[in-house]
Amino acid sequence: MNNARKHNIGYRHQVFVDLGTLDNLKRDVSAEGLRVMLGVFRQELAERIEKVDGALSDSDEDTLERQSHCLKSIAGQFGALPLQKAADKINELCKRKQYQQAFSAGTGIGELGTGTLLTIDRLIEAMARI
Amino acid sequence: MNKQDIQENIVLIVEDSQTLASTYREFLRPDGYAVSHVETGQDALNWLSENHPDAILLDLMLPDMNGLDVLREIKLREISTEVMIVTAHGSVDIAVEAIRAGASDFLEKPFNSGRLRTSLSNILQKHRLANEIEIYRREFTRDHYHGFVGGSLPMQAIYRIIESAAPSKAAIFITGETGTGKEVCAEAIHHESNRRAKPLVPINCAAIPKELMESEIFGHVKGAFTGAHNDRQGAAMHADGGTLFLDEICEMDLDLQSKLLRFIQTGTFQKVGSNKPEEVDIRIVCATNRDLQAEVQAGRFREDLYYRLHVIPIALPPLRERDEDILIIAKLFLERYSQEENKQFMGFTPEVEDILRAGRWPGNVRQLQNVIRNIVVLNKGELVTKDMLPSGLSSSGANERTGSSTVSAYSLSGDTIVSERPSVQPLWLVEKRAIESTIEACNGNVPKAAAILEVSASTLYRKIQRWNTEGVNDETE
Repeated sequence: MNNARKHNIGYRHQVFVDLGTLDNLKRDVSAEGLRVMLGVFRQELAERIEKVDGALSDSDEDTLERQSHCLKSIAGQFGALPLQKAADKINELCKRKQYQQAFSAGTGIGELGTGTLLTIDRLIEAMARI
Repeated sequence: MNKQDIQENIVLIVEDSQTLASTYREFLRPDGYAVSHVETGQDALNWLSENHPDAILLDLMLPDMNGLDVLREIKLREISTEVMIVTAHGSVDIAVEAIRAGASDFLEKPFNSGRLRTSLSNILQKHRLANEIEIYRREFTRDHYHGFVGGSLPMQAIYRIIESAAPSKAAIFITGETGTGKEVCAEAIHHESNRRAKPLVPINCAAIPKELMESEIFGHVKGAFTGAHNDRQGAAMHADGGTLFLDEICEMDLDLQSKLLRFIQTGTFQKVGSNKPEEVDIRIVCATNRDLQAEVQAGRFREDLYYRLHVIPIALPPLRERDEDILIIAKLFLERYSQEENKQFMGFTPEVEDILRAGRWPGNVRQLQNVIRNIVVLNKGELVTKDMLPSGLSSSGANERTGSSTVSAYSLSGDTIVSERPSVQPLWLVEKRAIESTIEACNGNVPKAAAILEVSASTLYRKIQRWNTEGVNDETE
């Protein structure tokens, strides 16, 4: 659990977010740039998770396919690997028209999303303090 | 690619995710691109109607349409830009399809800053090179240049020579068959030179009686000769700071040639009847349709003047050596004369196009011009068909490059086109006969004939000269 120190981003929530990915992003765009990007990511992440949840509740296959695709992309860019993996699985099942399995696979994605959002919140707070 | 090049580049991001768009924008910030962002395919197409990005980062999964459709529309509109497809993991097959559809590269999400910047730099470099090639292509393969029409290889060479020679003060000697555009060439030289703000003064040495030629070029003072009631400036003075174009210079009298030589050597001249030297700054462009070296050998043209004038030779190609230009020029004349004559002609049948291309065109562009005018004036329709062609063209032989003059009721010679219609004679023929009969009635006195016909004597001399040099003959019926 020493990744936080190792990657020097000031927090330790690698369960939901891969700190190495964020560290690389910080090198690419500076700490301030990363902080701004995380803010944008956090806002969109919340919206996408809500839309995926809504699609699951409404059994809306098209929305589930599209939103899971978007969720996968943004989660992957910011190292939210568990969420990326879950969204990818849903998206692949949708693309294969296996919607029942997709709806089943979606169970628990809300919880995973919440954990990721909390992690991002804490990362943003931590970066603001540094 | 240096920093300055990068800063000039405009990049459009087409991505519905604000997170990813802002990430790409942050990635690109160090390179100083002008980055714009739209979220949908339709917004991208609308944006492209008014903007010209050098590169586009195009997401495939857009909310309103597939990125491939956007790409196809970009290609359909022939928008000059490089498209980089951004695709999710597992969509490589689609990315390959996008490359086939014209995308320059693709990136698989997620990617880091270095990957994006390198790929973008590479495709922008490719874009820059493509633009440079296009610029060179346009510059070196022009289908027209000043008054010239035609993009054939011989004409490209002419355009290049004119462009290179025009800024210099060196004398230019234009040679070429009648109707190849020697005066057009002189105009192009003048307008391409830094003398363009000053006059281009053309003198046709064949059209002016030799006793008047010296005065035409150098001017005269009052009383210099009978009829010189006032001082008069000559062409050399009028052309001061500009260009003096001496057309048909081989027709110039040997005495006057020596005066011209002195003028070229010293830059000064004297008006007829004056001892006062006048100094002007002019550039001399000459032209002839004769074999200049043969004229020198025959003693009709001064050798020293030849070397003074023959500094930069431009040999205009005959139309028969400009295969690909014939139809371009023919279509231009067809359009022009159809408009002038209020006709509906839009083009030629393939058969007519073949005939026009196969012609030997001894009268060159002027002959082609006359043929087209003849067709437009005497016919109606949207397409020029074979039966509308003057018989010299439509029948085999007369105008074909490998054939000799055909003996038929109507023939084509020089720029002469004779209509098949017995009741209608072409205007030029009526004019030629009227001029000839008037001169005959005046016992060969051209100025007198000119006075009767109410035209200038130089007009008659010019026409006679043209008929003689082009072998125009109305006795072939």
